[in-house]
Amino acid sequence: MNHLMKTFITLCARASWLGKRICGSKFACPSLARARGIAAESPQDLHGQIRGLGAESPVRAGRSTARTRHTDRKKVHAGIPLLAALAVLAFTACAPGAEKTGAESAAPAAVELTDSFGRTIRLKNYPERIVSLAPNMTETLFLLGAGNLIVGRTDYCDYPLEAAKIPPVGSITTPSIEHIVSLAPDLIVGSTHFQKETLAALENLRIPVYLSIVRNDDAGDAGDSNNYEEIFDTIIMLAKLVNKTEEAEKIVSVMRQRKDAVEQTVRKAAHKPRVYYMISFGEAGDYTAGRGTYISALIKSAGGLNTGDDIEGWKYSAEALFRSQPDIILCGTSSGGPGAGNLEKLRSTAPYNRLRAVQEGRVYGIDNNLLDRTGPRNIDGLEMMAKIFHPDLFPLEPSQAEFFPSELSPSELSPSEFSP
Amino acid sequence: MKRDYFAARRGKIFLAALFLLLPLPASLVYISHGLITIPFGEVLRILASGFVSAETATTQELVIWLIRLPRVCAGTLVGAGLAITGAAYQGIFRNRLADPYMTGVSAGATLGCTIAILLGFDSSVFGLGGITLFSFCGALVTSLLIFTFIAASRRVSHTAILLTGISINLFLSGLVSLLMFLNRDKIETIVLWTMGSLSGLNWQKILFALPLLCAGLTGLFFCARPLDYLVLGSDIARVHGIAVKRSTFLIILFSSLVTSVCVSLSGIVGFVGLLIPNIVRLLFGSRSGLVFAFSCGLGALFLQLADFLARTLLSPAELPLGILTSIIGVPFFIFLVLKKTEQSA
Repeated sequence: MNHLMKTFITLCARASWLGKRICGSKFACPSLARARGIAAESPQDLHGQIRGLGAESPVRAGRSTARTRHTDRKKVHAGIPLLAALAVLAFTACAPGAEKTGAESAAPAAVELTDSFGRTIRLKNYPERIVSLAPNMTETLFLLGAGNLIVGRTDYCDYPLEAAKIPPVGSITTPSIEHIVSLAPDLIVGSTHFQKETLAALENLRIPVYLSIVRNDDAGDAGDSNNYEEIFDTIIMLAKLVNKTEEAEKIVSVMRQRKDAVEQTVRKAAHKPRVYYMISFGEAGDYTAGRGTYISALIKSAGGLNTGDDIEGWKYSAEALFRSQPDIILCGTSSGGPGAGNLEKLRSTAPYNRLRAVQEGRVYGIDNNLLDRTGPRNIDGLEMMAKIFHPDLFPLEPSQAEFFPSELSPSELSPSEFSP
Repeated sequence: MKRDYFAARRGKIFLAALFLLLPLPASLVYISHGLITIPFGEVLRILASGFVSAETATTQELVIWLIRLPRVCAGTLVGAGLAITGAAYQGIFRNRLADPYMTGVSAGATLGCTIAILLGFDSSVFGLGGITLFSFCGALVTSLLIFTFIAASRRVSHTAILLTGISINLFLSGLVSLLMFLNRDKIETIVLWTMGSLSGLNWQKILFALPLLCAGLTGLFFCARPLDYLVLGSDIARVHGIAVKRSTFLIILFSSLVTSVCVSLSGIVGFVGLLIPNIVRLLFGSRSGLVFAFSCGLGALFLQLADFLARTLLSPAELPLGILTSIIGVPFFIFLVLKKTEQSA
């Protein structure tokens, strides 16, 4: 028996090593790091996350070191969906959590569920001390009314404002494990950009980890992408963990209504504008949300055609932008972050100021956290985009009118209407 | 016999002049190809007619005038600049492995840029001046530091010089990373410098860099003769009437100027300064003036090609320039190091 266990552990270690090799080093995309303007701890895992593990695009993450930057330039960008799928498989295969928690199955559990990577989470009691390692999870927990359970957050959890009072434990990619342990959490929740190394460290410490991501998929022109259901699922599953299922049902039904309302209204549109979602530009590189990203799906259901659909992944170029000449440019301007002031910069930077959309005043700022973070606020983002794309279909309230057409201020436009 | 020598030299000078002109027709090729292919005739017509206002310009005109032409110009300038400074550093360090990247001078310039950006200099003319000034100071201080180290110890091996350069490079890169970590909210503008790219370029930057770069290049060409003697050792140079200290300082000054302008245009682009002058020496001999001229032409051609590949290989996406120059440069570098060790063994 002992011998069998040993063999099993060795095998696990092998698989985990292999998994790391596959997930980690095949994807070199410093792009996303740069896209958000924040270099990630190691660029390849970022790409791995986005292509393979997660959908949530550029959440700010981590920092860069001299060493990673030097290795970057020797790696070649490889964006092959097959490898992405492999990465997911490898991750699932090498996460030993499932077996481990399965072994302790004797006591009755308060809650048991499977996370996005097929890992089984069993909790004997509902958690009372949660560390959230993802801004979207923090947002969702607060919305569910479980914000008071959060004892630790990442540096980037800036919404809602109450979140700022919780002590930060570091970045999304490199949180301080020591700090997390000192907070004595009974549950850790993570999402996109969560690192396998962090998972391994936390599992060694026997702290339950729940991971939830929305995968990028390509729904094609047929529309109806599965992304919304995944976003809703994220909320419902998280609610199960904190015993707030009823609240979640209400929130999700409101979200569904709002989404359906937008999609129905947009269906009446005679013309769909071609939209470019500008994550960054110029010196920071041209980045957008390409085909199959769930941001592309959001744009589609807001009644727009995503010009980024001619690429896979996130890296674009100025030349392609001039070739496609989008009708509308959505410029990410997360307040306080590197995106602040992007709108002004865009209008004064050559060659971008010569783009037709810029010249004709069809550039709109949008708080990119509404789109980048998969969660309840995606619906705010969706409604904002629909209003921008089809102003004729969405009558404006007088208070909002002054912000159109181009000085759209996200904070003024996104009343959260789904408090249960 | 003497006639032959002069004839050969004239031939080389003629060839060098040809090399200096080659980037011009090459740039036409690069301007016409890309995501949208524009026929040569059309390119010439658009270039000849000058830039019309953006309202009436066609997509082709916009792409040529606002995206491709500035990129090709910058590629030419940076390639020529990096190659010639590589040749200059290799001369004064009397080491064929020296170049702005290996010696850490590029990293010094990057540190200067980083500090300037953190202090709030932007892409306005005033801001560009500030960034270039800081970058120049960083490059100058670094190269003086290394040179002082070499001058202080009488006999320094090639390895020691390289190790000094590499450790200074790592030290300065570490400082840049530290600054970036401490200022995460401003990081966006800085990452470019460390990756190397020509994609964020516009005319303002190029017009600002052009006179500085020309001044630096001209200065270096004038230093070519003293450099020929300096390569032989300071004693021999002194015997031939060269003001050793002054010449050395001038070469370092001009090289730092050129390096810093290149870094503030394109960020750190590795291996051009190492690769090009060494190829030139293998092909055309070691006279500094000729090495400088050939390096300028070949460096410009090399970087034009690298940038062309960077923007077309994964089109419509773009590769960082540093990736391509390194992929081509590293094998050559290893080959060179191996050959060096063979010779000294």
